[in-house]
Amino acid sequence: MEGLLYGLSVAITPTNLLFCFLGAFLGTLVGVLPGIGPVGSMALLLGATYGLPPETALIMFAGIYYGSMYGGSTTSILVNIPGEASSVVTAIDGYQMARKGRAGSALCIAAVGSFVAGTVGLVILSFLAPKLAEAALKFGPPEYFAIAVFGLLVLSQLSGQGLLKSFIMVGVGLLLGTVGLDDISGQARFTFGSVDLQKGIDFVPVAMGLFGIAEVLDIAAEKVANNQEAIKVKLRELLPNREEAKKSVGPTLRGSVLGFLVGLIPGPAAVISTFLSYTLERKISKSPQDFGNGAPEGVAGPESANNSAAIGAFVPVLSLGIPFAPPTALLLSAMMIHGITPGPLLIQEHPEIFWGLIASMYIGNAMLLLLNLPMVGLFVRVLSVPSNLLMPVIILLCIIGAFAINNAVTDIWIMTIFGVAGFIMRRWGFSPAPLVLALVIGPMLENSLMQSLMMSQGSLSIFYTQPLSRALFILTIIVIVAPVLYRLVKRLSSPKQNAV
Amino acid sequence: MSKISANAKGALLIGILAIVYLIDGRELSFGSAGMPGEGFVPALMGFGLLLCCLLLFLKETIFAGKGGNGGMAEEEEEKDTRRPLLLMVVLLLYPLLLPYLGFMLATIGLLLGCFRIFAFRNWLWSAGAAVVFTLITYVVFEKWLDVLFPKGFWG
Amino acid sequence: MRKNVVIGLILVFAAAAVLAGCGQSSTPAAPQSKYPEKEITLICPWPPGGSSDLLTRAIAQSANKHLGKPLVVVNRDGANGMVATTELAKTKPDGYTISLGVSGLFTNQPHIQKNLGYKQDDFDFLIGFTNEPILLTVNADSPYKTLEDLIAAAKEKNMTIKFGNSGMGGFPQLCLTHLFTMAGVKSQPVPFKGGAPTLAALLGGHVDAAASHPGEAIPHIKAGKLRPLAISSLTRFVALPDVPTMKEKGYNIDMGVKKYIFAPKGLPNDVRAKLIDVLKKVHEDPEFKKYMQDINLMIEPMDSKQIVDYFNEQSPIMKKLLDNMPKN
Repeated sequence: MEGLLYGLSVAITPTNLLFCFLGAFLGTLVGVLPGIGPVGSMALLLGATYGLPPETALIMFAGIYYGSMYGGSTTSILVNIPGEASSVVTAIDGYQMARKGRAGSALCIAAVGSFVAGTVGLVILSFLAPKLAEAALKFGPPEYFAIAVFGLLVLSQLSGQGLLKSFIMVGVGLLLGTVGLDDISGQARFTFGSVDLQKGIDFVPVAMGLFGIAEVLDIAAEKVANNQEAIKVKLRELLPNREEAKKSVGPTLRGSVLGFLVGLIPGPAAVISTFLSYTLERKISKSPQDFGNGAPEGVAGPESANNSAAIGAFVPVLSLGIPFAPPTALLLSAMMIHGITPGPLLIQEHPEIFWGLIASMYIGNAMLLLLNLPMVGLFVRVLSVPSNLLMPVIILLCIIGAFAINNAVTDIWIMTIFGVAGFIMRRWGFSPAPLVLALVIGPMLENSLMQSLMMSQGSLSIFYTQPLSRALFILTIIVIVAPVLYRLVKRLSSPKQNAV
Repeated sequence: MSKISANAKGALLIGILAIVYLIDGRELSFGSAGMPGEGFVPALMGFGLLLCCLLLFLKETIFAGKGGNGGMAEEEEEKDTRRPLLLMVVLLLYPLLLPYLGFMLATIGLLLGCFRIFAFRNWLWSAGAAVVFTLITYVVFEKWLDVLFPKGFWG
Repeated sequence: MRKNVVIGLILVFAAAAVLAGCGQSSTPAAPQSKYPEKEITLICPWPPGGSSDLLTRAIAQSANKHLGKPLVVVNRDGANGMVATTELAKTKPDGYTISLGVSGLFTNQPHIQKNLGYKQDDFDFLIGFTNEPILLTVNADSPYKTLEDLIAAAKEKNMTIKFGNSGMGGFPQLCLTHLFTMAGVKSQPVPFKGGAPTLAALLGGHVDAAASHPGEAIPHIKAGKLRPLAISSLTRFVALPDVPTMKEKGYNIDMGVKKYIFAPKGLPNDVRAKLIDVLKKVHEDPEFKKYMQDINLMIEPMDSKQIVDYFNEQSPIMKKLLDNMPKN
């Protein structure tokens, strides 16, 4: 507690407050712009931080990271373009809410949910960081594999399109994830001779194609008369109504805790946390049929989860000096620029950084809420732009976003090809969300399986001799496999009854 | 068109992709369980996907008892197909021409095409908007954010 | 009034003529080209934040004190640096595009990639900067106090040493495989994606040992969580004076990620000389030296010939190691 107070004294200096705000503001901005993510913008600014005191630089960088988690949902909700992997799930119900004229409400729910989740995450971070870090180390390759399998099985239940079709979508995503240089052997795979494909198929152009471009194509297919009229938003409808607010409380709190725990895991933790939360909320909801048609729970849960996952990702960085997520790796670089070696001794050697950063995050979170709520009105205006002007601009933004990731035309190709594919998939009733998310999880699945097999010298026993991994697999069977089997058995036995 | 369902068509197409994937993956070493090669997981996943596609295809064609209307291809017939097709052509032309024309020309062309497809006012307005938006993005992204757009034949 | 203007104009012209004359008279004396006339791009073939990026930026910062125009760092990552290297091979050798390189691009990749987009002869290696040797560590809770302990235990119990590393075919993996093969013990590399997850696996007790670069392991060594056993450079590491080199222990190993600045072949002589001159000044910059120590990079200056010789000496060793990698 006194550490936190000390941190507050660091964070409250005018310079640090200013940079905290700057970071949070920039973060929101890059979160909103598709294609330009927190990693890219932090990288751009890295050179500029040489002149700042280390804690100030870190406060700003952290602000960019969690700020982008706030902003990422905006384009998902408004125009169905997830700017970050962690807001793919938000697009499912958020965009449906926007189409019903509830965009303001969805944005508010996302902002408030993010704030609550951020704060819950921070409280846990302030008090339990070192202990949680030790616990996170207990997870090794077999455990990661168990989590990836669990994630993929949950993923295949994400969209209500039937198990087989979901598996196919997950499968396509997994195959796409193997394109490029293999993490483990360094061999190029499935690049068909292209040097540009060696770096793999990036998530962002795929998501922008399958969601954004496909949506634009879909709107082009509608009758001209229809798409002239934009969604009208009344100011009064910017806030969630009582029912929506009530529905969001539970998912926000559950999402906050779930997200934080998942955030401790390396790899695409924030992404996994979003669809775990989504599926959880649908499972326990009294009206699961609303999900996919604009259920506020489907926005509140995942949005909270990805924010607290972002906070959770700070645990291994701050208490061990080990980055589990790319944005936190950049935080480490920002420390190293100033000659500070991050590691287990950071709390003792540089309390001003450890506690100053945490305290600034409390402040930054509050700033973000104050910054984002008034912007809701502004963002919603976007929807009142007539679609014959809006759609070309969306195309332009997508193209620039795709290009900006690596300054490569290949990514524009990927995006346009997936745009066409996404359009066809919609027509044929295949839902793209599992594909996109599987693309993100694929490498984690493959790497952890390979590592586990190497550790055990080819014996699958490693997955049930390791107590943690065994527990995770048993959990998977209870939560996922059993209900599916139960339904299958029921379905197989029911036609007989119908026939009688 | 209506003979096989959308699901079956999807299964067929993705199945073919899986086969292409598996064929391309033949040269990767499979290894063994103890020392898995870089082709180990791709082979497993490729066959898994192929199996799923096969199951879905069979389910839709042979076991489709009750009409088998798995997709919603039927109800969307009345939609405009010309405009999305045109848009696709424009979108695919863009990355093809971008390296030669450079960012400015290619993007103005793309935007002009899009504005016309979406029937934005008239040609003059479309051209104006295309130029303005291209300039704005050029300044913001190339000048401020250090994105290096292709310059094309005149750079 | 008008007269004044005329006089003014004449004065201006006169001044211009004198200046022009000076310029002309000085050029023939020494063919001093105006290089650099515009900013120079220094490519870092890795994403921002890694040790390569930090090094590149430090070089740029120091070089900017001596170079007339700014040296600008551009990150162009992909395929372990091969994307940027392939591009560099095709770049015009005018001295306005230079790049950071690592030894693996020329000692390892030619043996791994079937159709590499570049070859050693495409480039001019200007100056070597740093060496990142490989450090063998074990968990502080493990019974092995020295390299001999570990090897003796493995021999005695016929144990396979599982060691974490940052990727198959990478220096840390090859180095330890080389070491354990020389020592006559069985080992099994377990690859992770980079150094940080490798150390996390060792800290969590999922592997027996780990191969990493010193910078990554030092914080954990200081915190008493990891124990260093040996290092792969020829000299001991400044921040780890008690850790013996593998060579001291009787294994003839000099491996490490050596980083250097290189350019496409065919630089004009004056440009080449100017670049090398400026980069040499970077080496002498005390601020640069101090910073390298802070971020745990070992400074190892090499000239053009030394770099090429090192490649030619290491490449066959690496080829043998890579060919012997378990592939069935």
